[in-house]
Amino acid sequence: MKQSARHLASAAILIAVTSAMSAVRADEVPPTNPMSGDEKAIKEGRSWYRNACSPCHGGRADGAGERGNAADLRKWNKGFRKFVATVKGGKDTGRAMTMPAWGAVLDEKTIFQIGAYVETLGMEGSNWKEGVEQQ
Amino acid sequence: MKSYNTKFAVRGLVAALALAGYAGFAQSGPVTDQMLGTDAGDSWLHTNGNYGGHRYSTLTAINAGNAKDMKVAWTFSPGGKTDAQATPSFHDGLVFFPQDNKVFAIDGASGKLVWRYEHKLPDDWGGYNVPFFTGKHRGVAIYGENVYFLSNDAKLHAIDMKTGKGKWVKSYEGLPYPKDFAKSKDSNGYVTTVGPMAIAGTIILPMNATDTGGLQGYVLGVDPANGNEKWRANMIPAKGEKGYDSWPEGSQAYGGAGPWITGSYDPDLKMYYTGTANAYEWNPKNRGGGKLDNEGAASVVAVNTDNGKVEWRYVGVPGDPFDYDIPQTPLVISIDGKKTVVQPNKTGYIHYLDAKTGAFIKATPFAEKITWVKGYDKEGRPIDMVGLPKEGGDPIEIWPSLLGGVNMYPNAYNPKTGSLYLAATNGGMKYGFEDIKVISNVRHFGAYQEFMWGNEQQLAVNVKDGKRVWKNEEDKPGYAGGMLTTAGNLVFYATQGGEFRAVNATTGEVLYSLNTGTAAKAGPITYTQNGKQYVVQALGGLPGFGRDEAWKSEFGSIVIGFTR
Repeated sequence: MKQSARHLASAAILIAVTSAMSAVRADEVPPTNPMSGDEKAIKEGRSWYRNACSPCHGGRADGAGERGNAADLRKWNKGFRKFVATVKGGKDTGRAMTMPAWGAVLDEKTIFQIGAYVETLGMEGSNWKEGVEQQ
Repeated sequence: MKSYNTKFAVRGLVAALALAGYAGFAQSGPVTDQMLGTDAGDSWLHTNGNYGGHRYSTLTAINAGNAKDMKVAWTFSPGGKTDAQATPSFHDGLVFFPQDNKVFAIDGASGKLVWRYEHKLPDDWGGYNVPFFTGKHRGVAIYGENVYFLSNDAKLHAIDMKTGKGKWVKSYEGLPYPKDFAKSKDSNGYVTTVGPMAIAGTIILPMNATDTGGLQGYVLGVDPANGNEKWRANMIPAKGEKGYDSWPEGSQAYGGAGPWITGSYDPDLKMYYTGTANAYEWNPKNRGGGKLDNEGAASVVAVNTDNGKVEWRYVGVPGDPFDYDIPQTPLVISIDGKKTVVQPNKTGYIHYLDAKTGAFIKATPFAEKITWVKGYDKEGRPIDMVGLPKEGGDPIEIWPSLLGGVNMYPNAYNPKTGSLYLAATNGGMKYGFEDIKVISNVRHFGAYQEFMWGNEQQLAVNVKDGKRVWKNEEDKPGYAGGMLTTAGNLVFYATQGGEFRAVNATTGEVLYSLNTGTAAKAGPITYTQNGKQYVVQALGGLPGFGRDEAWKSEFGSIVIGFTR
């Protein structure tokens, strides 16, 4: 690929990522999950988690899925807003096995339900309360 | 199709002489029909070594008596972005290796890059599970003057073997690639990670969409000259075929059963043998609840390569509720004069079938713990399969896990020792069902698992009676990358953690080892160049299926050539 084409491709990726992330406005997401502790939401979130997330993150959410090397969500410590932002916008790992951006196909309620379930698996040191962590 | 039978008869004769032990006559020039039909020797033409899928080489320069003197001859990095799963091929001085929708041709003696061919995936490429599959390939086919490569988006590429120049690219009707679910209302599609296979006059293309939404699997036979489709064999029975009614009406369309590992071939019976993936979705409620057989899924399927007619299907896991697909290469082995299909598979058993009729002969266990079933009856049906978990309820514990007693990591057979060599593991899982969620018309699994990790094992098993000959065991979970065996009484493999080994094929004694420091998920090959025997192992990615803590290793990407 020529250098100019590479720049164009990089720009396109940047625009795509920015576009996906622009759908996520941190200040529109509450600092804590309004569905946290809601048993009905947790059950529905569990069903979604086991369908859409567990292939990579594992049935125990420990990152030991069948499909890839994913984050251990039991140790999530970046707060609820960052969780929602990552699910919506995805995460580029620099490899082929990336975290897809689910924002266009999972509504916020569903993401909150998934978060409510994953939060129940949290280990010591996990954090679901604070806002978006600066990187 | 131009026949390479007569045109290159002289070269074929040279090749035959070389195979007969006339050192110095290396195979060269276009790959002929005759070459395709021989065991691996100076060249490694088929992903699985030969038509029968044995991963056995006649070479003896490196043998059990001198393997301790092996050394690294060269290394090459393809700059991989995901696991290196491809078994390389070798012919006429070049090692061919696919990775990340590229094909590399590497000088077999120096490891230097000779050419690189690259395919760009479509901009809207994506979808359910697709990042997991992207960039993975398990081999290429070489025939005539071409390398045949299946890119992830189900396109066949013919590449000039010597120059790397693309000759043509072929797409196939009705086999869409999966699209980013944010950009499409229907993201179902075929992801090809499997290597094609060349047989005389035909390139075999396995087409799989099982875990990217469940579109049903096919095997295509295409013309090597232009890629034109000659026939298409459906793994799931079509209306009018035996087994059609083993699926609820309409469920076949998303029933999965894709062939995702390169199969084997018998040139006398003219049959291509393939294992198939699980029935889809994993939660069986839309396809009979586990009470119907779902024939063609989790099956061994025999395809007539003259016309694409499916001659027989054997269902290894009827109604497959556990993701126990049995895609492993069915090896064609003559046992007591009878052509037998021998398939070690996820179930923890080695299945033996009559190669001509598909009649069940026996199933012998190789996994140390099997709880999902008590065995197989004389008709080849599972005995006392465990009850299924309740949707939304507690998971059940079963062994092996859905990763299987063996998985995609290739096994080998040595006709001199009479042993199969298995890249095995001993693990279980808790397995449960959930409601099936749908996004962009893609049905998700409706099932999940929690793994109970067991240790990686390399097993030698007597092919006649199924009894264990030896076992090597690691102290970590996983599988060896794949097995290679030779007439030099050797077995070569690399552990999942990346320790490359040459072991005595009779005893399992480790004769040579090298810690490569990165994950192994591919089978090694061997060949001769400039009168010297080489063994090549591709490595890369991270160990395990998402579990790297045990190995504490970082992502890598390397191809290593060994010699002595």
